[in-house]
Amino acid sequence: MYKLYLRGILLLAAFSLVTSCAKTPERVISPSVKASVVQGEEKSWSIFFTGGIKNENDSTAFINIEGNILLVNDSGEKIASVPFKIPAILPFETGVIKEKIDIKGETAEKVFSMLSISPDKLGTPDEPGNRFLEDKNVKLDSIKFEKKDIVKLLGEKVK
Amino acid sequence: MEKINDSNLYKVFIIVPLVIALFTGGVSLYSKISVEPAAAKLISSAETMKQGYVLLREPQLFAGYRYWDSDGTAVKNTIRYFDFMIFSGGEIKEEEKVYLELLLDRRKSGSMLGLKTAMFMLIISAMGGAALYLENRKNITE
Repeated sequence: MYKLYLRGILLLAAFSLVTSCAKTPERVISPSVKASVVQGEEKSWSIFFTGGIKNENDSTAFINIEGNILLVNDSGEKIASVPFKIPAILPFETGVIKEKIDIKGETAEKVFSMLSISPDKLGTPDEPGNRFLEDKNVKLDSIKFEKKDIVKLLGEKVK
Repeated sequence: MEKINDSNLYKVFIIVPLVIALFTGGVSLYSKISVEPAAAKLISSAETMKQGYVLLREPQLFAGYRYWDSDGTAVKNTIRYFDFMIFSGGEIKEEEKVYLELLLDRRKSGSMLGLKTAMFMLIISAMGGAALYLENRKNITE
C-alpha cells in the first residue's frame, strides 16, 4: 500500500514537472479577418486572416512554428482552414499570423454568413470587409514547433 | 508510562534543514562568488555586453523570470527587448547598460534571499542539534 502511494506521488511529481516545463499555445489571440474580392475572377474572394500565438514561457523559444486554424460557425461546423507558419516566437512574445486564403462556392457562402457580410456589397464604403472574430469562431486545430532553450539560442547568436 | 525517545525526530530536524541549507546556500554562494562578478565585468564593457546579457538570461534560483513581483514588470520588458534584439542580430547600446544592471540587481537580490534562507535553515538545524543534545543528556542522567 505504501509503495502504491509512493508511486502515485512520484507519477504526480513527474507529470507536474513535465507540464510545467513548457506551456503550449492553445488559442489564437485577437483574431480578425478582412474579406475582399479577387480581381478578375467571378464569385471568388480572399480572406486575410490576422491573429496571434502567444509564448507564455520564460525560457523556451518556439522555432519553425507550423499550424492550422479552423474557422467554425456558431453551430460548431468547420467552414474554412487557415494554415500558417511563423519563423520564431521568443519567450513572452506573441507571434503574428498574417495569412490569406481564397474562398469560393459553398465555403464562401458559409464564411460570409458567419461574418454577416453581403458579398455583393464587399469593397464598397458601406462594407469594407473587416471583422473581429469571436473565440468560439476560431479554433487552433494543430500546432507544431521546435522548443529551444532561450539561453542556448541567444548563445549561438552571440558567438 | 513508557518514556518517549524523541532522538529520531530531532535527527530529522537536523538533517533535512541542513541539506536544504547546503543546497540553497551553495547555489547562492556560487552566484555571489562566480556568476555575479563575471556578469558585472561583462556588462561594464560595450564589446561584451551581449555575452553579459546571455549570462544574466539564466535566472538565479530565487529570482526566476517566470514569477512576477511588483518590481518584476521592468525586468520582463527588459528581457523581451534584449531577447529580440540579440535574436535579430542587433547590438546593445552603451546607454542601455542600466537595464542590464537591473537584471544583475535581480540576480543579486535572489542570491541574497538564498543565503538568508540557508541561514534560517541552519538555525533550525542547530536548534534540532541542541534539542538532541539535551535529550541525550537527559537519557544518560536517568
